[in-house]
Amino acid sequence: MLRNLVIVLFALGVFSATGQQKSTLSGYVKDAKNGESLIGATVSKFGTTTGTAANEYGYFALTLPSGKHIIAVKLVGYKTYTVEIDLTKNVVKNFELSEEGQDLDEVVVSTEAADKNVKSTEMGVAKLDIKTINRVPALLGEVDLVRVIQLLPGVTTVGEGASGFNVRGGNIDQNLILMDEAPVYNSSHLFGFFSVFNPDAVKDVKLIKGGIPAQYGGRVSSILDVRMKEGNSKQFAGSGGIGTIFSRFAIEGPIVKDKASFIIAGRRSYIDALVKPFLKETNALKKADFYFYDLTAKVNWRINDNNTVFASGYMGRDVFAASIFSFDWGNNTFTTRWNHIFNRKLFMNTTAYYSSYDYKLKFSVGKSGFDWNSNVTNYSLKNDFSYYKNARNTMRFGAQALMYSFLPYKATGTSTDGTKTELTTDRKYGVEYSGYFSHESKIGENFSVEYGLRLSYYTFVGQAKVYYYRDTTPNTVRPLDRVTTIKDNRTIADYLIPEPRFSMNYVLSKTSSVKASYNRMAQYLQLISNTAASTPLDVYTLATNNIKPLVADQVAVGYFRNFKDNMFETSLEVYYKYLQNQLDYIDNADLFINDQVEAQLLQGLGRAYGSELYIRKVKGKLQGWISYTLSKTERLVRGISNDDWFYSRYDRTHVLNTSLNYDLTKRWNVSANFVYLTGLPATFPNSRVQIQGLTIPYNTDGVRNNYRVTPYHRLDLGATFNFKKNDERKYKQHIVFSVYNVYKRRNAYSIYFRAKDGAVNQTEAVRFSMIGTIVPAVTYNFSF
Amino acid sequence: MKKLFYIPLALLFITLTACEDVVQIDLDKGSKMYVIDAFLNDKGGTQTVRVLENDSYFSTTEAPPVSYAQVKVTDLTANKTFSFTYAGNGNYAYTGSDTIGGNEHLFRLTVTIDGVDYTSEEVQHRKAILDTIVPVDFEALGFGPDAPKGIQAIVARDLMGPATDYYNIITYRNDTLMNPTSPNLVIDGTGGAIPDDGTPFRFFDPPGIYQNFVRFKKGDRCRCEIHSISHDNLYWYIQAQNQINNAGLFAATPENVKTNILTPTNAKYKATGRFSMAGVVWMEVLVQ
Repeated sequence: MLRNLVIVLFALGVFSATGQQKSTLSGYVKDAKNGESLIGATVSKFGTTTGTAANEYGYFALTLPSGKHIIAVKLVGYKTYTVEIDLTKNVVKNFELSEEGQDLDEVVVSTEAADKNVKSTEMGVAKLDIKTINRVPALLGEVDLVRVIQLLPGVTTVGEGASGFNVRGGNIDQNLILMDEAPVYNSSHLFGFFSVFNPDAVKDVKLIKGGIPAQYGGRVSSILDVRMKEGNSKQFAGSGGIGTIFSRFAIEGPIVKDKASFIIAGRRSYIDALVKPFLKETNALKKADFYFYDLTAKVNWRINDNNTVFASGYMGRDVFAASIFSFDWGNNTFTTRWNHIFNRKLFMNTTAYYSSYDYKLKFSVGKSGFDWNSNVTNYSLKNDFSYYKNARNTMRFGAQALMYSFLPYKATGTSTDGTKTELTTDRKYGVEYSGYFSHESKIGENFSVEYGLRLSYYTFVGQAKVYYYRDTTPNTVRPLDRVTTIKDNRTIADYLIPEPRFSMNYVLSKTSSVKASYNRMAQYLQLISNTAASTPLDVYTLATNNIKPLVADQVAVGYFRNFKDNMFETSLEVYYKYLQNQLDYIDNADLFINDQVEAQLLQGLGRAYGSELYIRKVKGKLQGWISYTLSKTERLVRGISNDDWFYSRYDRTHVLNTSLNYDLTKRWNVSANFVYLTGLPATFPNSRVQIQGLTIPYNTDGVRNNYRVTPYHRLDLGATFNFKKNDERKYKQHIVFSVYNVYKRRNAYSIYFRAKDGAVNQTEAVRFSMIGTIVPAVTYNFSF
Repeated sequence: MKKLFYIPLALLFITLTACEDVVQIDLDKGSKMYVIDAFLNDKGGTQTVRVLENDSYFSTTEAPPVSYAQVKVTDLTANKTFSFTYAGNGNYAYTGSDTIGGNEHLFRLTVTIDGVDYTSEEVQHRKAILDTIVPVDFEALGFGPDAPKGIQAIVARDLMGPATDYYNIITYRNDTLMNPTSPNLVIDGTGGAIPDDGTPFRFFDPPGIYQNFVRFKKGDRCRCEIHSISHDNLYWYIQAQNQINNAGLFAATPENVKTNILTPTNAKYKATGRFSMAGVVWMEVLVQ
């Protein structure tokens, strides 16, 4: 049935050739001010629905019947550009769009509506531009991309200070976080308070929660595709800020005007210097260092009309050191890309990247000490092709080879006499090969479809020490059967997983549509963590002979409608996700420095379902969004919770997010966030036992996550003051005032149980709050 | 080990932002269970097994004692049985003249309650060799001028392989147990960081060089015992500590500490707890 449908759709789309003469208009859409390519700008025949969108590099190709056409180029936040083009033959033309005015009297309430949310096949997709991100009140006044993402429907976190985010019931390791196409393994600084993305260097952010296109793979819950700025190709410019916790600075400019440009952006925190004066001399942190820094850089060179190359990199590190220990961790990525236009209809991007994450922990006293290192490294080469057959059909296809190299741990102990002993596990290697094809087609005036298939083949290879375990009672350590040492790079275990993708859109009216999507995703690595918040010490594990790949199927249906001339965008999406082979752990598992950790891992099922209501106002003095999510996330793991479904630890039944900003005057903008989330599930004891003088909490029912902590809610306020502009001067500045957690809510991060100090047979419950007070901040920002 | 690494992380957060306060939680009462606390050793003298019921988590009274059990320990290797008699408050004592113990002997604990036998088996493992107890100069070891003074070190020798040896080191100052709730756990002499090779190791006691503890003074009696225990019992201590101290940003999912007490399938009530049979070496010195 499905095969027949695909054949029909393919025939309708690909082979719908007519005898009419056609020509192609192609080129790039760029920002007139700085030459940055504009992702997602639409190029269409004026007054019709016939058009295309610029890809991730700003390239477009639109094939129309030969003749003269009025072409409209649009993007939210930019003035629409219309021009008559004589398409009697193929035409190459680059477009430059100018931003809409910043001042209120310059704001154009355009009738050129941003109705892409209704008309495209995309669903479960949230796009954020840096202007929107900048207006959201932020913790300590520092704009943060990941914290803004957490305000979107279907996205949650387990609390302040937690790394990463959860999307539609997925664990944090199920999000593919891409920085210029290179995966980022730990997206957090300062344990999760800030993300690794420097807003000064970010151009475009896209979160895909469902209907994931075939070109993406490797994680099962979401794709966070962050594209860095290319650098101003017209003139030198800079931006930066001085904040409560860190400062940042970015500089960009042309190397060769309109041909080559660069950007370098850096940040460094100084929280340690600020906090130390308030610490007592006896506080262990008085002499400690704790800070982070990062550096993002990118260059690009447009060799000619058909070839452009890019190179971008990121390095960042968190450091925490005191008298006898030091702990540091960080990411490094490096990406090179080559865009090549074979002909007007066929666009190719070739990407090679390197990405690594590592941490180092060191204790030392005199000669004795302990060093512990771990790292994850990726190398990848991939090719992506876009074939713009005509205005109704676009095909994408490509292939990727991705190599994983993991060092779970390397530990060295040094005794007081200087004797060193190493505890090291073998590196683990895996290679993932994938190929994909997808076809986006418009059938008739109202129906659009995108279908595709990604085929991934993963192989766990040597060199390796391979452990084989026997089956045993669930929730107990699996007994070791044998160990084999593989000295070459032969395949030890392999998996081939077809990943079909489908999404469709039926336009009901000019302002409304229904959409549906299905995707299967495969993931060949998972994070080993059984703590409430992931720690920087957590390590990933590859799929091996003992660990099967994680596979998720997701279906979603949505209704999209815009109101008031596209001033309001609304959507209601319903989804169901089914996961296989999610990692869990036996009780009391020992996950660190354990070369047989796989004997303590369990794999089970997961399911997540819910509905997301989203209302966003995109124009006018008041802008922002309100979203409400009703959802449930559960797991089923043999040996855990009496073999019954239990709530996952990041399940949130109700989530209400509100983020609004209002232009009070030409110079003042005020903003507010309010969030409400059902409390996280938690395992509470219903009993206690006394053994060897210890009072130990105990759960006699064996049900995991049998309670919930109290609901989380918080109000943040912000105000931005823009200094008087002077068109003659390039220098612009604004101050951001922010107040986080306005009414000092002590949101419970967790509740734990303990014996009361000094009291016999006395126990108590303790609420642990990461931020239990109001946090005001001021940040000064500038650009020139 | 894990807790050790979280100390710096927890310190940072608590200092910067985090706060804790006691809250009232309404918890269900769990179903009835028996709790068997049977940590025995070969030191001789009175050996005690305690049998209690579990209690609601916020109870303010002692756990209900079980006074109607029958308790015995059988040396399956030597084919000898040791019967325990009720001594009040849930305690069952063995006061016989024969010492319970024997290197590499297999022991079985049987606790019979209402006709149901709750059992557990443990091997008494080989003992370490305790050489001396000597004072330690922490300042000389690089801890700086503020280093604690008056610490004693046990100098002992772990037995050579191939088996891995697990120890719990217990210290008394003038007959007062110094680490009642914080066991000193040692694997092959050095916490597992160095493989056993028969060379002497030093272990500082009491645990935790930064804890506030009563230091030994001149004239104090320092008594140290090295209990050879099983792998599972060493990890029971770790698991129990993890559950008791499971707090903060990186708290793990709470889990029940593993038991080695077997409950028959036809039992109305389950039992939890621990049976341990340790071989002990000890030494006592007068601090100079």
